[in-house]
Amino acid sequence: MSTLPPVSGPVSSARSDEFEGLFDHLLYAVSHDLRSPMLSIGLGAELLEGSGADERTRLGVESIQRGHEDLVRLLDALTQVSRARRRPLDAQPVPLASLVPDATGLESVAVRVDPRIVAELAAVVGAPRVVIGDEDVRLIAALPGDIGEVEGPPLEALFASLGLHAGTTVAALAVIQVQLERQGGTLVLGGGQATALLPASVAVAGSGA
Amino acid sequence: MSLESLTPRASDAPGTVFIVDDEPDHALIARHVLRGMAPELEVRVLSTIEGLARELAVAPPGSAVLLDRLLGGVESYATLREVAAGRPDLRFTLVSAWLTPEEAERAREAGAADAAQKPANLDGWRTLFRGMLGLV
Repeated sequence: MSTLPPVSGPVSSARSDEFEGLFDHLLYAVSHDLRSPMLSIGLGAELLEGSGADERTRLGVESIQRGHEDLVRLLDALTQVSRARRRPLDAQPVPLASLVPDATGLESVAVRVDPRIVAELAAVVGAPRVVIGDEDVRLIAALPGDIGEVEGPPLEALFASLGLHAGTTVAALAVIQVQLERQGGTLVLGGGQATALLPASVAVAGSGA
Repeated sequence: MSLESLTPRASDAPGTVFIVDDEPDHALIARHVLRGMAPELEVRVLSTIEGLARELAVAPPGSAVLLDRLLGGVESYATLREVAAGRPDLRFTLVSAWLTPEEAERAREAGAADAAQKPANLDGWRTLFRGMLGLV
C-alpha cells in the first residue's frame, strides 16, 4: 500500500470526520453498486457457456468466469467491511461468563459489547482464553497457521493487500475489528494470535482473575 | 420445452409474473430463465418506479412480482407497502444485488412474501422462481 505524506500541524477533527463519512459512502458505493454489473457479467458468461459454443468461445467464457469469481471475492470483502460499518449494534453490559466458556472465577466481570460479535470471533478463531487487564478484558485466540505471520490490525492488512486477504480469515477478522472499534474495543494480530480488547463495563480490579 | 416446464405447479400458482428491474440485463436474464421453466406463464417486464403502483394495482389476480429493491436510485419499499396493502393477492419477492438481513426484514414488513439477494448463477434463479411459482 502506498504511504500518504505526513500532515504537519493541527488537523481539524471536523474535516477528519467528514472525510471518514465520505470514505464510508465510497466504500458502500463501491461494494454495492459494482455488484450489479458484476452479476450481469457472471450470468451472461454462464448463458454463453450453455449455448454449445466452439473451443475459442469456451476458452473466452472460462476466462471471463475466472475473472468474475476473483472480482466477486474482492467485492465481497469490501461489502463485508461496509456492512460492519453500518450494522446496527447493541453494546450492552454482558457477564463475561456468558460469552466465553473459559471464564471460571470471572463471574463478577462484565464487558460492554454486542454479544454477537464475540460469538462471531469465536466462530472464526475458536473459543478464546480470557486475560483481565487494568481497564479492559482481552480475548486471545491462536491464529490458523496460514495467517500466523500477519501483524497489526487485520483491517490494515486487508486494505494493504485486498487480493491476498479477501475471502480469508484476515478479512473475517477485519470485519470483527470494525465492529469492536465501533463499541470502544479493538482487535489486533501478532505473535500468531488474535487479541480482542473489550472495554470492561464494571471495575475489573479485584475480580480474582 | 425444458424438463422443468413439465414440473407440476401448485393449483394456486400465478399465471402472470412481473419482473420489475431497472437493470436491463438482470431483467432479460430473469425472463429467459422463467420462460425456460414455465413457457405458459405471461411475463411482463417493467423498469421504472414511476407509474409502478398504478400498473400493479390492475395486475391479474394472484400475479407474482419480482421487485428490485432499488429502481433508478429510489428504494421500492414505499411502493411495495402501498401496492401490497391494496392488493393482498399479489405475491411480492424483493430482490437486490446485495441484500442485508435488515433490508430483508424491512421488505417483509412492507408486505413482501420473500426477500433474497439476486442469485449469482442461473441455477440460483431457477431455485428462486421455483419458490415464487410454487413449483413442486
